[in-house]
Amino acid sequence: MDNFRITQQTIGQHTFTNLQQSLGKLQTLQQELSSGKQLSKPSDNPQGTVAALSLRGDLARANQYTRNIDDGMNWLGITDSTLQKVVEQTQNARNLLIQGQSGAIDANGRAALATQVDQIREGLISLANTQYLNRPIFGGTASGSTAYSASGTFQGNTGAVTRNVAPGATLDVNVTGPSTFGDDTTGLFAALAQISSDLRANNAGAPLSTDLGNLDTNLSRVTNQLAEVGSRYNRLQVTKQRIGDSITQMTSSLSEVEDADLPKTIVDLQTQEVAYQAALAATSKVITPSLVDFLR
Amino acid sequence: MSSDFGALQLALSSLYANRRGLDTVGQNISNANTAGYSRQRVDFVANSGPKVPATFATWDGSGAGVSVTDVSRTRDLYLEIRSYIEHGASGSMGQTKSALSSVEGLFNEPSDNGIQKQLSDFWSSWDAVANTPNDAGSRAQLLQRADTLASTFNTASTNLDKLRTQAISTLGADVADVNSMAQGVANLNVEIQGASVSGLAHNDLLDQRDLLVSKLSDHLNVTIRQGPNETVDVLVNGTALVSNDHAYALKLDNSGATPVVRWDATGYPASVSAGAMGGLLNVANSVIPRYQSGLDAIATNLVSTVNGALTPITGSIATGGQDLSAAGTLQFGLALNGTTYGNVSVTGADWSGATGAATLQAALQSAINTATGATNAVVATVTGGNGSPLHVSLAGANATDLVNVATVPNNVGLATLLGNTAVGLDGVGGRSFFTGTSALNLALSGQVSGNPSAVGAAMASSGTNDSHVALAMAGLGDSATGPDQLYKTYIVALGVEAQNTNQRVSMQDATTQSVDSSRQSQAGVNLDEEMINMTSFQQAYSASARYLTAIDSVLDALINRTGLVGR
Repeated sequence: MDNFRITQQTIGQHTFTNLQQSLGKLQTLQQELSSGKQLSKPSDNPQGTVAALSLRGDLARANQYTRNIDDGMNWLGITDSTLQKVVEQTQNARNLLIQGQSGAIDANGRAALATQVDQIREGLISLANTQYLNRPIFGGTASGSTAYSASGTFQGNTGAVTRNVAPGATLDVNVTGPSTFGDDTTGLFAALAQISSDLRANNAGAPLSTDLGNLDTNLSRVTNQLAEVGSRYNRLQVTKQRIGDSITQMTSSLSEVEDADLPKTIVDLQTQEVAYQAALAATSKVITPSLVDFLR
Repeated sequence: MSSDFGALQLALSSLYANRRGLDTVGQNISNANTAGYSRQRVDFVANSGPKVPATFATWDGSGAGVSVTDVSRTRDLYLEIRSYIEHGASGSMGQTKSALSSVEGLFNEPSDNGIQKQLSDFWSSWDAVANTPNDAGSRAQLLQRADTLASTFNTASTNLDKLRTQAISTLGADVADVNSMAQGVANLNVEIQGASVSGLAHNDLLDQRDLLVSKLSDHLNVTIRQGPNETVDVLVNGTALVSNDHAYALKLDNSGATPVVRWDATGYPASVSAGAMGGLLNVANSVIPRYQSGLDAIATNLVSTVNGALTPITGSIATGGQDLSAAGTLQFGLALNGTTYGNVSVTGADWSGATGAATLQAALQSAINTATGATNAVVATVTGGNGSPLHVSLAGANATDLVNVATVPNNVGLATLLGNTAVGLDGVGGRSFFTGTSALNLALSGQVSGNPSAVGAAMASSGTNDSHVALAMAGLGDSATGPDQLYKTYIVALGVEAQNTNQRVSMQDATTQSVDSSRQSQAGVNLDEEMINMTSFQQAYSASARYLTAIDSVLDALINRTGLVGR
């Protein structure tokens, strides 16, 4: 400080700049507190912004995965309950067939049994046309509104109904008609039609035994599918759980990056307020007097 | 031998000089808060006796009082010039900082309503369509979100352009300001020259002129060159803006793609690199265009990503040791630019072997030509065959042609061959989703706008309830080369640049302030100092008056009381 003169204007300007800086810090802290965010624009923290943008994108994706999984679980749930009814009905038909094999039944009795089998077959075809959100669940990706015609012919296709369930992972949520009910010539509906016609023909012997074998083949196909549907449902449940966990994780990470640390911000604000007041008080003392006040 | 009356002159010179000192103190105090005022100082010189020897006129006195040689301004030219440079840098960076801050505000990231969020919503909508491809509601929502996304891009682009227009109009106002200030400097130069030559007081004119030059340095990069008679020339990168009494006007040339500041007289571009004008030129010609083209790149990436997953009418049959003689008749409905040409059929043939592909290509092209007439506007390209997958693609002859292909029901041949083409609920493929070549004209394609069932969610080969295209589309949000990633990079680059600029501005402002302080320290008025000066001048004046009294009484004694001896 050899010959650096200080003038009243310099003091005034410096004081003003310093007070402005102090007030600016106060404003930043106030803004953080009132918005609850410490990251309100990219330049606040570019690295944090990368994280925030990625986390926000991933969170949106994860939430959509959850919705996809929920939808898939609904689809599988309806498939599961439908298949259980199919198994139940098929077992009823099997019991009727076994009754028909008995020697104690005459032609009229077999015709009556055949009528019941026909009704079960109709019921099964209508179960096979079960819809979820206006789509036949066994119809694949075809555009029709039924998977099977009234006569039991498959009308859909074997396209997969797929859901995005996790990054890069998909799961087929449908089982197709042919893989569940067999094809049009040897499948469940054809087997039931054969049983009905054999009963009407009053064939108690070998034909009905063959029919029983065919029916059992079809029944085991359905139960296999039931097990498959159950295992897929479980997979979705596990995935959903995992995605739920990662949503929690990502939400807390996002909060860490974006949200203001309240206790810290409040303490900072208090400190800054004290600093600002001290600066004001000091300024009022320094800026007023000059030699004028003391020369008499 | 000094004269007794000479002492009276000595006292008088002291009275004059100290009065002058007091006047200067008064002027300094009056202008303590005047912008650009330089503290003035009275230069006293002690008068010596005559230095030329003369006969009988030897001088043995102690001096002949004091005289005021000059009232000088205390200024440091080096600090002035440094101040021009620093003010120029501050002005330029300040403009960049405020432009970047506006750009940041415009994108409003990270938030729940920025482009990032809308992109996420857009991809999620594809998942919703994939879940219920037969539901018009989810398709309508997809179109709605896509439309919002497109118009957000449009708005962002328009706002960027507004920022640029604003910068250019501010630049125009700045040019006018600079011209009038330059004229002011030239006028003052004339007055200063006159005053200087005639020896009149002109410190205050100098102050006014220096203040104008300092203000000029806020607007553009200026340096000064001292001219004769205390005039200065003001130079912009070596070219004179003010030369003595003449000011050379600048003009803003906004006729080209980028605004240029030119010399009005010659039309040559002026090298404006700093100050508010330099900053505004940088904003209008570099900063905003950079972010504009970045945004355009994201928009065109979005268009190509989405359309690329939808539009191409191509298909292939994976074949090993193929005998495609059983592929059946290829048949499809063809429309070009909205005109339907009915069905195109190619009768089944043996398309295997080295010539098979060529046969199919010729047959396809000929069938298409027959359907569309002689215009030959749809081009079929067939590659592969002879053991490798047969690949067919259809395209319009012009890049803007829109080719639509509809499946003919139960046509296995086409379904297999064009199996990966995205088709809508109506079975029509080949529609684009977005159109546009920049963020400004990004829009929903007219082929899907207002027509939810036209959105291609299914693969042609799999029935209209298929959703594999939509599923794949939903996954594009995670693509490392997709628009989301580009946008993230874009925003982060913006954040880094804005942060760097803010830091540089703080540093520059500190530098500028420190130079200003140094300048103030030289040229500013310190009231304490003036009070001390005032006291010393006042006391010197009183003392001189007392000295005058003393001499007076000496003379009184000499005149009135001597020579009375013997009376």
